[in-house]
Amino acid sequence: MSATSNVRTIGRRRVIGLALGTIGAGALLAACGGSAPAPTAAPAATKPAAAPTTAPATGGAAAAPTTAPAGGAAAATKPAGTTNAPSAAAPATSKAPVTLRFTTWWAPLERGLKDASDQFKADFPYVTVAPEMVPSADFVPKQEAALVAGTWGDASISDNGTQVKWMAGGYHLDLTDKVKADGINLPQDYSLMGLEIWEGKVLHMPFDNDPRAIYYNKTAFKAAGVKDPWDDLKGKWTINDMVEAAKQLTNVQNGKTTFYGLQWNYNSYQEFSPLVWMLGGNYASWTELKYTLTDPAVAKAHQMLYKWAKEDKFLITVEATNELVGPGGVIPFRAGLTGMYHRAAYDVQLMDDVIKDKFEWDAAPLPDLDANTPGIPVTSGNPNYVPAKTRYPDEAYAWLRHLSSTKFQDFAATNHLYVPSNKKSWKTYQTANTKGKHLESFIRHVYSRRHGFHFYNAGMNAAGTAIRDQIDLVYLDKKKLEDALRDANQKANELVNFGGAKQPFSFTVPKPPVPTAELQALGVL
Amino acid sequence: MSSQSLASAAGVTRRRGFVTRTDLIGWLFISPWLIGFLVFTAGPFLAALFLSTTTWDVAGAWEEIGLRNYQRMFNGEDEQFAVAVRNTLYFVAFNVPGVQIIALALAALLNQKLHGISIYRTIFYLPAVTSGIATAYLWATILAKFGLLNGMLALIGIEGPTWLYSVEWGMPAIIMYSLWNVGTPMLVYLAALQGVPVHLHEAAMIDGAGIWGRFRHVTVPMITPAIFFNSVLGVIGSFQVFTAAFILTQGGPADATLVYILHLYRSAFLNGKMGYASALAWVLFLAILAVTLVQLAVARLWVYYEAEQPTARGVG
Repeated sequence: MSATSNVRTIGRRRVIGLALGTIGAGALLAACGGSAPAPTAAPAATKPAAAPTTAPATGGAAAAPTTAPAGGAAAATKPAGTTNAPSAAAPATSKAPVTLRFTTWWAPLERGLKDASDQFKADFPYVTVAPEMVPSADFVPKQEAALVAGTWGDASISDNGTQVKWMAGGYHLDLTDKVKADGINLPQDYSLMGLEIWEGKVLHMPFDNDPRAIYYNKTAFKAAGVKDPWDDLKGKWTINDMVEAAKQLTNVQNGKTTFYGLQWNYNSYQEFSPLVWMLGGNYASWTELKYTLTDPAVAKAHQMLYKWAKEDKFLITVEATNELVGPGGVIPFRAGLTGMYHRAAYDVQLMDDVIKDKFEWDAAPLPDLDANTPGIPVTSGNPNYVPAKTRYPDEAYAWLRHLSSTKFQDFAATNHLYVPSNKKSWKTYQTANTKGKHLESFIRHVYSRRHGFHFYNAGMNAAGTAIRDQIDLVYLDKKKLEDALRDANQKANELVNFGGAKQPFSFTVPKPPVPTAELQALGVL
Repeated sequence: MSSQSLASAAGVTRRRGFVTRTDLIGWLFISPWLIGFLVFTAGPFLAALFLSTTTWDVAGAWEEIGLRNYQRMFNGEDEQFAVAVRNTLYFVAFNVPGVQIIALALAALLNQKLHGISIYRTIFYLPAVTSGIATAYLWATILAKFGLLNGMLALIGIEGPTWLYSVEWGMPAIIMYSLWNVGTPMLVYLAALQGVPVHLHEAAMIDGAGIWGRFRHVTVPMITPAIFFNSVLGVIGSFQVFTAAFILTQGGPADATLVYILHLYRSAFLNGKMGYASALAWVLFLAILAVTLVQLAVARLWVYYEAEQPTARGVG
C-alpha cells in the first residue's frame, strides 16, 4: 500500500459543505435555545416565548393562554389589599408554571422577598418569583451587559443614576396601558420621584422613597449634656441648634479629633441639596434640564459646610474619615465616631444591624434653616421596571404592581424595609414597630414640607462623580470654591443626558408639600 | 512507513486536495481555543476599533464620528486623560524597576541552600495566588492613618501621612502595595538563577572575583533573558494597573491616583461612553505595543542568550 493511499483528502466543496452545515446546526440550536423574543416597538404585545398552554379554556381547570389580553378577567385575580383591579389575566390557577426572575440591589428588601413572593403566590399560584440580589456596586455594568443581551430577567429595580439611558433606548416595557386598565392613579396614590412616568409613558412602577433625616447618637447626646432634638426640642429645631449640638459633641484629645459632631456627605449633591434649597437656590433646573451649580445658593451652602469642617471642625471630612476608619471602612456614625448623620431612610434597618446595642440612636427631622425658613429635605426613589425582553410581561407587571400595592407596602412599612412610595402605607411606617424611634422624621416631617428629589438623568452618577471630585479639591485646599463649582457645573452639564427627552418631568423640584388635608386623611398628621 | 514518507505523503495530498483529513483533525483539536480567541478576543478587539470611531453608549442612538474620540484625548478636551497618563507613567517608572529589584533580591535569597527553604519560597509566592481584592483590603488596613505602617513609623518618631487620602502619598502607597506582589517574577528569577552554570562561578572565583563581582559579571549576564522577560511583562502589567487604585483610592484624592485603566473603566461604565472608552483602550494598546517593540529592539544590545552563541566546535 502506498503512503498516499493512507491519507484521505477532502475537497473544497466538502469543506464548505461541512462549514455551512455547522453554521446551520448552530443556528438551529440557537433557535431552539429558548432565547427571549427580540424587543419590539410595542413590547406589551410580545407573546411570551414559553407559552406552554394549549388546552381549551372551556376545559375546567385546563390552561388558558399565558398572555391574556390586558384587562381580561382582571377582577377575578385582584390581589387582596390592592386598591385597583389587575390587568394581568385570567384565573391564576389555570396557568402553567412560570418562574419570574426579579433582580434587585435593594439589600433591606432581601429579608422581605420571601414574604412578598408568598403573598404574590396566593393570587398567582402558577408564578414563582426567583429573586436575584446583585450588589449595588455591580448593578450598573451587570444590568448594562444583560439588558443588551436580553438576559436581564423579567422585572428589575432601576439604577436611578443611569436608567434614563435604558428608558430612552426602548429597553423598558411601556406599562401605560396596563396601569390604565387597572385604574391606578400613580400621581395621586404615590409619591413619585420622576422616573415612573417619563414623557407621559409609565416606564416604572413606584416602589420606595428614600427621604433623608438626621440620625443621631442619643447616648452621645446624653453624655455630652446636649439638648435632644426630640426630648428637649420636640422635633422642632434649626440649623443653629444642630450646629451647637455638633460643637458640643465634638471631642478633641491631644489636638486630634476623636469624635465628630456631624457627618454630612458634603461632596455629594444628593446630600448638600437640602441646604441649597433652604438658601433659596437650586443646583439644577428641572425645566431647562441642566445643572446650575453656579447658583449663588450652592456656593453659600458650601461656604457653610466648609466652615463647619475647616473652622469649627465638627463636620467630619473625607480625609478625617480615612484617618479614622480607612478607605471603604465602616460608616463613622455607625462606628460611634460621629454624633449626627444626614442620611436616608435606607439605613434604618442597617443601623440596627450594625449598631445593635452599642449605643442608642434615633432620627430627627431635617432642621429648619431658621424660625422662618423651614427645612427642605431631599428624598429619592428606586422604582422597578419590566425589561422589554421579558418572557412574561403580564406576570412581571403583576409582580411589580404587587410590590407597590398597599398590601406589600404595608408589610414593608411595618418591617421598615423602605419608606413606601404608596402614600397609604406612610402611616404604618411612622407608627408600626418603631421601637421608640421617631420614624415620622422620614414621613410627616418630609411630606408636610417642601421636599426635593434628585436630578434624574442618564448622566447623574457620572455628574455626581465629577461634582464630588471638584468639591474634594476645595476641601484639600487645592482649588477655590468658586472655581470648583464653575468647573463642576461645566463637567456635569457635559454629562447630563435625558436621552432626547424634551420635558420628561411632570413637576419641578422642590415639590410642594402634600396638602394638609390629604396627610390628615392618610393618618400621617 | 517512516515519518519521512508520511510527511511526503501529506505534502502530496495537500497539493492534490484542499485539506487532508489529518489537517482537519488538527484544526478540530485546536478549534475550542481558536473559536474562543476569535469570538472573545479578536472579535471584541476589532469591534473596539470600530466602536472607537463612534459615540456608542450601548443603549441609545449613535453615530460615526471618525477620529473625534482620539482628538478629544490629545487636544486637552478630556483633562483627566492627561492626568491618567501622567499617573500611570509615574506608576510604571517606579513599579517596573522596583518589582525587578525586589524580585531578584528575593530570588537570590531564596536560592540559598537553607533548611526549610521551600516554606520561605511558598510564603513569598503567596501574594501572587491571593485575590487582588483581598490583598488590596489588607493593604487598606496597613496603610490606614492608624494602621500598621504608621504604627511602625511612629516607633522611630515619624508621623505617617494618611496614605490613601493624600495627594502626595496616594500614588506611592499604591506602588508600595504593588511592590509587595512580586511572587511571579521572583519565581522566574529563581529558575533563572538555578540555571546559571556553576562552572562559570568557579572560573570567576579562580580569577579572583568576589560575591559582587560574580553577581555582576556572571549571574546578571546569564539571567538577562529572565530580566528581559520580566521587564516586558512588568511594563505591560503596570500600564494596566487597576485593582489597587479602584479598591484603595477610587482614583482620588483629587485624581492623584487616577490611572489609565480606571479612567477607561469610568468612561465606559460610569459615563456610558463606550466609544470613547474603546478609543482609550486602543491608545493604550498602541502605547504598550510601542514600548514593547522598543524593549525588543533594545534587547539585542543587552540580553544574552547562551544558546545563540557559537559553540567552541562551531567556531573551530
